[in-house]
Amino acid sequence: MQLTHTEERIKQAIEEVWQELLQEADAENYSLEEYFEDYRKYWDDPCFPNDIPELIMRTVEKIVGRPLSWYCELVRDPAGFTGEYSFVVIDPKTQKCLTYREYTFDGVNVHRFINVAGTVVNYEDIVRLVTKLLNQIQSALAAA
Amino acid sequence: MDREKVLQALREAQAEYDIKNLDRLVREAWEEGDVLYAEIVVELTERAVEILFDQNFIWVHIIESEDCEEWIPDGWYSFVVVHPETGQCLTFLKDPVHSGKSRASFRARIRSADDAVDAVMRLAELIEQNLKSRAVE
Repeated sequence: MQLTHTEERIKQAIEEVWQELLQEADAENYSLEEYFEDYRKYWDDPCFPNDIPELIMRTVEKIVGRPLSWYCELVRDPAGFTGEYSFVVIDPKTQKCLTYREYTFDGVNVHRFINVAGTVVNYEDIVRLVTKLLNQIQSALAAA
Repeated sequence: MDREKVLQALREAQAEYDIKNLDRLVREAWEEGDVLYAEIVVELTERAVEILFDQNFIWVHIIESEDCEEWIPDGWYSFVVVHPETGQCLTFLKDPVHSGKSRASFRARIRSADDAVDAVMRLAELIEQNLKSRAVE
């Protein structure tokens, strides 16, 4: 499966999803720029970043062209929310974990990961994380 | 899933972690909001499931918090399980109400030893069901 996810397409999809989220929340016009200004102000309030996983995954789904099953962890340490989001994405058609991958650093031991993670502090980070997820999903679908 | 087998698996896991009183551990994780104890509850749950299947899995878990601003465990836990060889998500569940929607994680409230037994049993049943559905296909 070939996904078309140029940076321009990703940015367009993010904007579309943002408008959908605003509509669903019956919210007034609130630009993504304004959102990220507030996001940085309320950085230490982990309630605020709850919109981020929905924005990211709906954007991914829009580009993939179908719903996916996903799970997101807002990564915390004893000091609180770290700003990192960790995603596990499942293909509902096959139940395969699309964020599953194997690495070997020494050619002997295989390390397995099932999540894709990234820190989000601004709009560009959203674009980067969506791109990272799409690249991983594309390679998983191509390997299937 | 046989309750006696689940109890046995939990006992084995407890022995591995040298946990003498499961009920006390689980309650302290919740009542005192202790993240370290909650992590042990998670480890025990995961290990008991692996003992039941005689198989290691890849896990992701969340210790849920009652408070947004501080990380105080509230006795709720979520787990995602993936088979290390096939990459199949074993906690996958289709939404019975909304067709086309599905869930990747298993969520349980673990606030007592009984809850822990129940969580391991339900989680193992879900994994078994997913393993069987894949085998049929």
